[in-house]
Order: sequence, then structure tokens, then C-alpha cells
Amino acid sequence: MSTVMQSRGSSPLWVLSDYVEMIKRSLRHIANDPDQLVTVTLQPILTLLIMNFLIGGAIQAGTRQSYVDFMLPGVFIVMAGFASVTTAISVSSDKVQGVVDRFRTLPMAKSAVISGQVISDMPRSLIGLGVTVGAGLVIGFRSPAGVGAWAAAIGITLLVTFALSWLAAVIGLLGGSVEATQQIAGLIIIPTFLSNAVVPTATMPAWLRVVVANQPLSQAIDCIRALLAGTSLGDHLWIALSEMVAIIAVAFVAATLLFRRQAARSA
Amino acid sequence: MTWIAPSTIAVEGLTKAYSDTTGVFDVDFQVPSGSVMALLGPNGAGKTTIVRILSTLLRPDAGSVRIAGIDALARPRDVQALIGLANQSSAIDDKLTGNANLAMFGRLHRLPWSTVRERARELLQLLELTDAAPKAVRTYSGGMRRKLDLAVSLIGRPSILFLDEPTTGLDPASRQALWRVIRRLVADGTTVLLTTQNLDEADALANEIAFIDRGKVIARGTPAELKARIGGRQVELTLSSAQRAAELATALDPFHATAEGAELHVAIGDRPTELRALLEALERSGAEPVDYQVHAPNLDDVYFHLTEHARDAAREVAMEAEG
Repeated sequence: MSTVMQSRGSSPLWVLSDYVEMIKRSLRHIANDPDQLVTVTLQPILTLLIMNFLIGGAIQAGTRQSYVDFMLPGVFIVMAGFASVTTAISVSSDKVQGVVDRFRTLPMAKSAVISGQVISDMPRSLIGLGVTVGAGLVIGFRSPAGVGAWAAAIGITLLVTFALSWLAAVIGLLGGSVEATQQIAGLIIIPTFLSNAVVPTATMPAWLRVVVANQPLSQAIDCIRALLAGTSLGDHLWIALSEMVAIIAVAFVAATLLFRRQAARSA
Repeated sequence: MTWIAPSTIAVEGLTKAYSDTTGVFDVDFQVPSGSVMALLGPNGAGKTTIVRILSTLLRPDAGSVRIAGIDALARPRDVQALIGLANQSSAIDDKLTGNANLAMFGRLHRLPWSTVRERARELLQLLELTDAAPKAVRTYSGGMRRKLDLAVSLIGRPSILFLDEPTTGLDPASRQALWRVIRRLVADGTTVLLTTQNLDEADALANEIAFIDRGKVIARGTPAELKARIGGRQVELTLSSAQRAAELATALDPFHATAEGAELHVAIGDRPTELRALLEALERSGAEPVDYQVHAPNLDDVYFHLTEHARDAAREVAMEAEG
């Protein structure tokens, strides 16, 4: 083997190639890792069944729609919460195992490391969405929405997933051990339930209703619900979009700084 | 303008303090192109910190690092194209196969597909991993993981290789196999900086050893020079009583002998003739040891010897200041 210096590409096409490699890596993880497949298949089905048949009857009273029509858009977002826990664990185990350090010693675009992970959460959640809608149709979900409304609903769901994945990446970079990260990332699930996802806010005490109905996830759920029910969007769309973009911007900056800061901290 | 050899490591005044006593303090050394430098020292001495700084993972508080003439602090990206790093933990993706790991890291080195494929095949052969390559890394043994980790570190064909405790936790056969690979890389012109706690490993691989203790280089030299400073062999004689041991210590005057209870420690040189001289002196003294041991100096001996020296020097300085 010679030690002659290789000419290495530095064109923008190589940056794209870095992203492609990192995305391919995460997609292979999904295919090879049974846990992740359970997250996107069994989990939405079970959640739907439990919400609809076990708890649904009791909640039905407060909704104007059929409960499954009301709840399904909420389950989209609850699933995004569950999926983000997996993201945090992946980021954390890369960090703990030293894989992040290896990436940091490569002449690659460093931004691809975390971004690739977050981007590859999108196809995974599309699989999850497909399973959720399929199972919903089986238990009686019906929607008058056309292709455009469906596309918009899926787009908003992916935007929420993207935002929660970035938050999860921040948690993964912060956590000391994989176990601790798993515990902390589990907290992301709380706001998905502390929303109007599976229960109408009308029965809540006024102070709680103000908080729950106006939090970003509830705004996004209201959008998806209106789109799939064919009702008016109102202000929900703009509020939801701007709030999600704000979360992504903050989490992106935090993740980038944390990724760089590892250099100064670790012994 | 001075000419700088293409693959050298030059470190000057390197300092990274975590507290008053932990970190790295004012470390200087150079590694000539195509040679092996071993950083030898106990746990927590600062060896890993030095490797992390040199491999662009950590920024020092002060000092300069030049890798192949490039300022590593100012142009880390250019340095990253030249180096390979194998960490203590096997930093490979255990959910992927060996092949997929090599392909991914090769592409992230921004090498064309054809080069990546060719080099992966070469490395798998060199490290005897060809059969394991299509299998998921999580099914690998510890030794195989370490070998794949090294293969991944070599995929960019680095001219400078950092190995942080490359054989810790490996069985003797895997250790020998890894040493062979490292020797072959060096023969092909790779410059290697490795850390180890094992004097044998430094002895087997390194052209030069820097002994690191509490973040400082406390001794430097070729393996032979370092060992000569400690004394080549340690002979331990057990006598029937402490008094006999003390008597024998006096009788063996020209040798450096110290009695400790009924035990007598004698340091002799590397040559067999020195052992014969000791045995003859023992014969003349008429002493009858009940047991004996001969061993080569190990890391403990080096460590105690060098730190004792450091303490002696400190004491002299203190006494001079008082006097």
C-alpha cells in the first residue's frame, strides 16, 4: 500500500454523497432492527385498538364526529412522539460507542451525521402512517378528503415528526448513557398525550383547556383533523406551521452546537 | 524555509487542562515519517487526550500540532484526509455488516466507488475478515470487531495512523496478528502513533517510546534506552531470614541489591554474563537462598523507577531551595 496522498472531492456533489450515505445507513438500521419495525407497525395498530375499543366508548360523548374519525389524526402525532424516542436512542448509542467520534475525524460534511438520521426518520414514519391509516380504515375510519387534503395532512404530520426528531437528536447528544437518554426522550411522549390528540378539550377545566388546546402539537392535530374531515382550517395552519418551523430552527441550532461542543468537553 | 518530511507528527507545548492535576501539560514530541511512536503510561496519564487532540477531536488550550506539515488546529479538514484513528472502543456500526461498514466509511472519506471496493477487498484479506464481511458486526467476536475497526480506520489509506490501546482486551493470538498487520503498514511507509499500557507492546512495535505520567512526558527514548535506565533484569532472592538478606546485600556490594525483609532485589543488565557474575558472587558469599525469580522489567518497574526519580529530583530541588 502506498501513502501517496489521494485527491479527494470537495465539490457540493460530495456533500450530497455524505447525506446519501448517512441516510442509507439509517434506512438499513430500520430494515435490520426489529424494534424499529415494531415501533412503526405494531405500535400504531395497538394504540388505535386500545383507544377505539377500550377507552373510546367513554370519550365518545364529548365529540361530534365518530370517535375513530376524531382520534386517528391524533394518533398520527402520538406515533411521531414514539418514533422520536428511537431517534434519540440511535444518536445516543452512536455517541457512546464512539461512532460519532469516528465521523468527526472523517473529511466529510459533519452536518450530515445528525441530519441524515433525522431525514431518514421520514420514510420510517411514512410506513407508520400507512399502517395507521390502513388499520383505521379497518375499524371504521372514513374521510371525505381529496388527494390534496390528504397530501397536506401527511405533510403536516411529517413536519411534526421532523421537529420532534430534531428535539430527540438534541436529547441524544445531551444524554450521558443510552439508558438515561431513553428515559429523558420518553418525556417527548407526554406532550403528545397532553394535547387534543385522543381527547376533546371541551370537557377540561378552563385553565387546562387554554394550555392544551394552544400547544403546538394540538394546533397541528387541529389542522390534520380539519383537512381529513373536510372542515375549515381557520388559523390553525399558519400557527402550526410557524410553531413547527420555530421548534426545528431552535433544535437544529442546539444539535449543531452540541455536536461541535463534544470536541471541547470529552476527555 | 525548512523542508518537512511528508508524514510527520510534530507536537509542541501541547496543553489541555481538566484540573490542576488531570489533563496534558506542555507535551513536546516528533514522530519521523514511517516510524512508530508509543505513548506508554498508566490509566489516566493523558495518553488518550493527546491522541484525541492529534486526531482533531479535541482542541488544546495551548500548543501547536502539525501533521504532515499541516497545522491541525487551523486546517482540521485537510488533516482528516490524511489520518486514520482506531479508538479503544470499536467505533463501527454493529447493526451493519462488515462490508457495509467499509463501504460507508470509504465513501465518507470521499473516495470513488471503485477505489472503495478495491481497498475493502484488500483490507479484508490483510485482516483475514473476508468470510465474516457479509455478516452483521453484532455477531463478531471481540477480536474480529477490533480487526474490522482497524480495517475501517485504514479505508482512507491514511499516511498517519493513531491507535489508542489497539490490543487491550485481545487474546495473545489476536494480539500477535494485529502486531503483524501494524508492522506491515509501517513497512509500507505509514507513520504510527500508538498508546499502550504494555511495555512488551511498545517494545515490539515502537522505534521510540514516550513515557507519560500525569499529563507530562517524563521519559523518552528507544525501547533499549528506556529499559537500560531501569536495569535489564530483576532478580529476586528469598533468604531464610531478614538478617541473612541484609548480610547478603552487603556481600553483593558491586551489584545494586536492596533487602526487603527476607527478600533481596537485585537489578542486573540484559546480558546473560551479568547473571553469571551474580551467581558467582552468590557462590562466593556462601549464602543459600531458598527461592529465586528472574523477570524482565515490566510497566510497574518502569513506572516506579521513573516516578521515584521524579520524586528524588523534586526533593533535591526543595532541599536546594531550603539550603
